[in-house]
Amino acid sequence: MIRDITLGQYYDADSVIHRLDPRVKIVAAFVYLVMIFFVRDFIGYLFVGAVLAAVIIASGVPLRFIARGMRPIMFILLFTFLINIFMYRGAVLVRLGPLSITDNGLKQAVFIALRLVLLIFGTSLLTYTTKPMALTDGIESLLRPLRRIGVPAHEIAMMMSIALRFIPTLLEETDKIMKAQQARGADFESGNLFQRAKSLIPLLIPLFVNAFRIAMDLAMAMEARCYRGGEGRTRLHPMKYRRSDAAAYVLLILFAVLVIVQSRGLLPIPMLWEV
Amino acid sequence: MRIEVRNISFSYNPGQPDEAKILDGISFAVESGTFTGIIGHTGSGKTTLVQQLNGLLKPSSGTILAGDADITSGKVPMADIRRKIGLVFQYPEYQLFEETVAEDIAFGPRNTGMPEEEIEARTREAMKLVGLEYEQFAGRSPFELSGGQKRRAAIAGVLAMKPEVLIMDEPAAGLDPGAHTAILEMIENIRKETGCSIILVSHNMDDIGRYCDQVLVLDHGRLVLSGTPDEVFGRAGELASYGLGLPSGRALIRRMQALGAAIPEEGILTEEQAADAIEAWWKEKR
Amino acid sequence: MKTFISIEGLVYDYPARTPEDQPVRAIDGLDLHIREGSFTAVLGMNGSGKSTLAKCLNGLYVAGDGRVLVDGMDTADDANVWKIRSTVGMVFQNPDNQMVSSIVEDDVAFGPENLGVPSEKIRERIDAAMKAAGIFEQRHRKVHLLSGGQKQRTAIAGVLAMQPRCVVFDESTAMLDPQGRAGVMEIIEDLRRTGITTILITHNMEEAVRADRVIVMKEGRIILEGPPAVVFADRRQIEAAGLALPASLTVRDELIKRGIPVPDYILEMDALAEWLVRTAEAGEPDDED
Repeated sequence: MIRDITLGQYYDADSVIHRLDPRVKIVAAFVYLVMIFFVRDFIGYLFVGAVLAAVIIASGVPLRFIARGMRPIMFILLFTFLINIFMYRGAVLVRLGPLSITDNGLKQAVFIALRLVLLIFGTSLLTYTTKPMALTDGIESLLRPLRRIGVPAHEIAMMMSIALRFIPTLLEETDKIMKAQQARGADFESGNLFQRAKSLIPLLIPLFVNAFRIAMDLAMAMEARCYRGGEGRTRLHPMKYRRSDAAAYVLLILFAVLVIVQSRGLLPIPMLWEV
Repeated sequence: MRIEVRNISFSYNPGQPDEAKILDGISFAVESGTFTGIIGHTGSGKTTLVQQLNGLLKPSSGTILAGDADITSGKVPMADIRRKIGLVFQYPEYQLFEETVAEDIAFGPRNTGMPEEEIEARTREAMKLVGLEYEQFAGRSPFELSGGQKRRAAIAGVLAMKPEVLIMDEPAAGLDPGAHTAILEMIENIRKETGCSIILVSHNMDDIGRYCDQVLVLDHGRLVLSGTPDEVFGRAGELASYGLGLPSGRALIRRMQALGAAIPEEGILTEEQAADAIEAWWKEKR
Repeated sequence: MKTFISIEGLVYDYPARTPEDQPVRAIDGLDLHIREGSFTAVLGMNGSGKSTLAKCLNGLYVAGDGRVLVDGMDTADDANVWKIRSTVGMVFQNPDNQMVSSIVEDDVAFGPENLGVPSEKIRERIDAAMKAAGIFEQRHRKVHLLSGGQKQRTAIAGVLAMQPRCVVFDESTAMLDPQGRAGVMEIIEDLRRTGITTILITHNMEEAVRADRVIVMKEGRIILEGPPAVVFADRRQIEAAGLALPASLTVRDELIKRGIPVPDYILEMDALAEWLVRTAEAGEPDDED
């Protein structure tokens, strides 16, 4: 189970995408995220999907690997799909007792599922192709202008990188505690919602206690290695924009413009299944 | 209760291109009331193997018999198996969660739904076995105890289930030498008092040599050697190839042999036995 | 050789957890001088104050009373704190909980980055440090996929990259398997050869025997100190401190009980085997050396 969790982890490869400046990738991920919400018809999704596919291919991260990261959120995906499919009025396609699936419902459900998949694939591609340290450096550098209005740029970035670092450690810990309590007859799987929530106490308390212990240890280790915040820190990999980064920004702008123009119906192609 | 493991294998992602074989065709038996040691370097599959024995993980193939019941058949209720085969994980103190020591120890019995009087009796008994005074410790928070006491409380939590087989994964890890010896003596004492069999996973060859009736050696998921400690530690060269050493006393005798001393190593597992053998050899020599 | 760390009358209290509680005294008036380039082992049962002592050596904890000088710098003086922490590096017990970064070389670079070392120089430093700690081949791997021993090597490299003159190992071998332990001990021997002062806090007597000097702590005080041969000769105090003898000395004691006069200077198994075989062949044990 633990081995399946690849979401939010780095995939080591040497591709065009991996070599891009982290700031470019963060900005791109952000713009991409916003653009997904601009899209209003199937052609738009097709276009965004094609661009994402091209980037995935260029990144050299195997699709199987990215898809595996989807597994933990499969449930949410299915849930939102099912909720949406019954929610909209329109021409009835199938009737299931009191519920009915309409053309609008189907369209909405498919689009929302698509949106979620594109969202997760796109944003996880950022962490797959960017080392956590570079990611933090990038976020910190992008947030730096906001420091003047009191945004703790360095601290936010450091917290994120530590969170990414400790995902596998905490998952392992969870697995261990769960098994240990199961060995004492704990049952995490049966009973109603209330019983199940209660049965999580033997898991959650040790997990919190251990997380605090880890945090104390880590804080001590960081101090021992002369950590004193962002002031005066240098970097093993200093960030420097190169020509490929500039090219990436140009492509990004082009992408955004195309999506916006298309979603407003300003292109000489008709909208398909617009919502 | 006798445990028999017949040709079990275990993989993560079986049948997939990234299949990872953790255990490969392992067979052995643990007789009732005996002390079995499992050794092997990190990643050899020891921890995975012991988790198969009480059903936390299911083997990909093969069968495990606990007494007469085939626990891999899916017909035996898991709760029964876990009650009869207790497993104490490494650093068990990290699973303590209740407000008091007594409540934490009672967690296992309470899960089986037995009456309150029985639960309390078991809690008292388990605390006695691990050497925690009931009056002194029952009402205290487990988080206030010292490291060694926490470990004892956690072990008591498994003992309260009255297991017929007690599996311990590195029970003395991280303890100081005094506490280390005390924990091992406690385990041996539990075996004598309750008649349960013990399976000890350890890196410490001195402990293995001193307490075990049977030793299993794992390497890359395979059972590569098994037998009495004397038989297993007689294969020093083979053990070295798996990254494993000998009990100190035996190692000393081997070292003396290498220097040309004609001194037999058979039967030497502890420091005292080594000293006896050296004494006999010394007297003969002089 | 000159004194590198000097501790005089050190007292350290852990603050009370609740207003009704008393502060807990962890170090209770401790004097200790450590020479540059020496290898010191610190022993004592859980709760004897040895880990607290370790944290006082680089200013993580500041003396409540008395003082700790590192190369002449007082750890209580805020102006010295970063200089002291880069001079006295520390490797902790739990290999997982001291890694900041997900990738080996990024983690090793954390210290030099904090010190403001220029980027090109960081690369040089971390490469040298990773080679010294035997983790260079793994430099691009994710830390959570390493073995315990490899994680601890990464932590050691992270400390060496700060180019310390002293490294404190705070029970750094406790959670490792025998191979991992042996690896850390080899690195300690290497550091010692390059003149770095090493302090090893451990429960493992076999490791302690290899030090120049052994310190035994109990209830926040040093109750025994000296070369291993002298310290382990005091059976009564060793037992009182909740410790055990190294296996070699247990056998030696057993042999002496059985009338075989093994001399005091024999500390390690190999030496014991050699002495026994040589003396038995010679036939005159009492005249040895």
